[in-house]
Amino acid sequence: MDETKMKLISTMLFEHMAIGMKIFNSTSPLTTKDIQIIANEMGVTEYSVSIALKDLVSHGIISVAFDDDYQLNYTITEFGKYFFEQFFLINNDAEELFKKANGE
Amino acid sequence: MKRMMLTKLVLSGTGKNDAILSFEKGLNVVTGDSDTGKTYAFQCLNYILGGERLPKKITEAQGYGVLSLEFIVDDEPYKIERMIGSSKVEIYYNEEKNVMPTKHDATNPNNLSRYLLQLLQEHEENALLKKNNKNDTRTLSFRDIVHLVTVDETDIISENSAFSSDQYTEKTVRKSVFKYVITGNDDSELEEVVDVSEENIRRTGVVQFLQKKRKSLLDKIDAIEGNKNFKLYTESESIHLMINKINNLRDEIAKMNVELTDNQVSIHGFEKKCFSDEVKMEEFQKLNQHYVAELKKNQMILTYSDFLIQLPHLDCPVCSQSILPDIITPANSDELFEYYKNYTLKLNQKVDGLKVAINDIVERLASNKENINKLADENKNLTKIISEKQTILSSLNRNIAEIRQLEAMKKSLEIYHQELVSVENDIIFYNEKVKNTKAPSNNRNIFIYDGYCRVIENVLEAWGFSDEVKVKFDIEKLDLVINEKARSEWGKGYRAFIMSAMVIGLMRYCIDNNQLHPGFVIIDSPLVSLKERKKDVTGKWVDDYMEKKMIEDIIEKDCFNQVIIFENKDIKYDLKYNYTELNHYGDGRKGFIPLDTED
Repeated sequence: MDETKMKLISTMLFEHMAIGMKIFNSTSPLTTKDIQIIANEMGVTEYSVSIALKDLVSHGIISVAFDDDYQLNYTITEFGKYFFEQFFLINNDAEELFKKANGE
Repeated sequence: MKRMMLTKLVLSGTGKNDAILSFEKGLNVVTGDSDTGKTYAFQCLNYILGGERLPKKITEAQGYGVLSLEFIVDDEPYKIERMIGSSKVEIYYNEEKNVMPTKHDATNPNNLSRYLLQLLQEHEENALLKKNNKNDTRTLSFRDIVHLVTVDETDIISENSAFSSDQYTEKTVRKSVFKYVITGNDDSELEEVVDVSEENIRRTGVVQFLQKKRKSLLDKIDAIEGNKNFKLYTESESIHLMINKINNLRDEIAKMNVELTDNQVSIHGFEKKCFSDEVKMEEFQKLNQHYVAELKKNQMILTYSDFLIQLPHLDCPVCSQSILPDIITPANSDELFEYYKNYTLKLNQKVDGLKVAINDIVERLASNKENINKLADENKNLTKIISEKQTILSSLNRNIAEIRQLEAMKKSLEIYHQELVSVENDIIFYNEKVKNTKAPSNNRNIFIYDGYCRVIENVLEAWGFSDEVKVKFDIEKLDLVINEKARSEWGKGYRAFIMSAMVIGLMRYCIDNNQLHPGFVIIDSPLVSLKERKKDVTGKWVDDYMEKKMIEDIIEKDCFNQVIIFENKDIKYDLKYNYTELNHYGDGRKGFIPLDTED
């Protein structure tokens, strides 16, 4: 695998983490549209968003459900919370980044 | 010397009978009542002998216009003819007629004055006469001689000598004329001198001026010697050393200025380097931050990836279909971790490299800043030293200017001292000169007039003035002091009498000593004012005693000379001499101007 692809994967992983953190941080469920807006603000492509959401759901970090308007809503799972808390414990920089992203 | 003898004075006019006065050798007396033309005849004689003043206008002389005077020199007859009012004369001699101006001209022998002088002197040389105190001279004219041989009725009783002049400018030349007539020595050997007294006053003024200047200079020198700059001058010993000192100072200052400039250039170079290093360091630090951030991000992703890889993939909670991983798969996970490992290593190497580079820059920056500070300090010191040296230089320059001024003043002072000595010597010299010129002059004058005084003494004694007469000559006034009494102090009768003795005595003296004299005298009214009587040898009172003795003496002593007297008084005394009486008589008149025959 060449370096370019590695860099792409690396970028996608970072965006994956950023979207997961956003959902982890959100107090209410986020629709696809909400996540897309946030991703746009962060410069994350729609493709990366869809890949990340699918992967996060696959790992059980976030859950997905239909709301009353038949829109998909994404919410952090209890495992997801545990996952990020553990992640922050391991990597202080990530927690710092998380706090910074939340405006703390 | 030759002498003249006047023989005939003729006044003629067209259609007029000639007015004639004849003269002979010895005494000639023209007497007559008042207003018979005696003074007019005297004036005519004066005019024909080159006088400028016309004879007075009288009614009787209307129609007369030509004067002629016949005279004899060495038995040769001469005749001068002059139109009244003309400045020229005609001289007849040896059947020849010469027309010439009356006015004296030293450069041209063809004038009446030179002609008559040459007749008497027998040579053409001009005698030079001193005419002022500066010893300027002019030549002798015949008119100068006429003043000594003719005395009019006014001058004869005047308190001033007829030999002298009322005009200030003529006094010196009259003295010179008299001296020449007495001694035969003119003033041709006199050196032109400036007025000694004025010169002395001037020189004294100069000395005072120089002394003031000297004092002023000494004050200035004192002021400079007391000046601290002057001490610097004395330390330097000479201007030359001081100039060297100034040149050395200038060189040192110039070198320091070059050093200062070089240092400043170096400082600018170091400042540029510092600026460049600071910019680089800022960039490197930013890059380092970026690498550190990248490392953190990488570590974060690596940790996140490590977490993710351990998680199982669940099915979709909505559709229950299996979801396959898209990013990290078992196939690429190892490769991905290997990438992260390498990438992290690479970043760490970059960070380390940057750290080294930044440290190098920091060290270099510190070194450059230290250099800048060092050079700035050096320049500060140099500026301080230059400033001090400039102060010394300015002081030295001022000193040099002052010293040069001082030296110039010292030189001036030396010159003034020399001038002062010179002027003081000049003053002494001129003072001596005044003494040397005045004293011998007086002595010599006293001596040269002694002979003339003896002649006068003899004349006056012969004329019965007194038994013993002591005569002194007043050189300044050209007058006599008789028995310690100046002629001017005597009564007018005596003044005229003494003046007559002076004129006749001068003639006798000149003839006896072969000095210049025309050999005749013309005196107007010498006796008219004299009223005196004296006892004769028998003790009998005799009226007009001196008058008679005078006539007798002239007849006796001047029988080869010519004395012409115009006189109111009858002075015949039954003596034999040429006696002309001009008198009124009958209904007509017989004066100098005759009645027309037609009338």
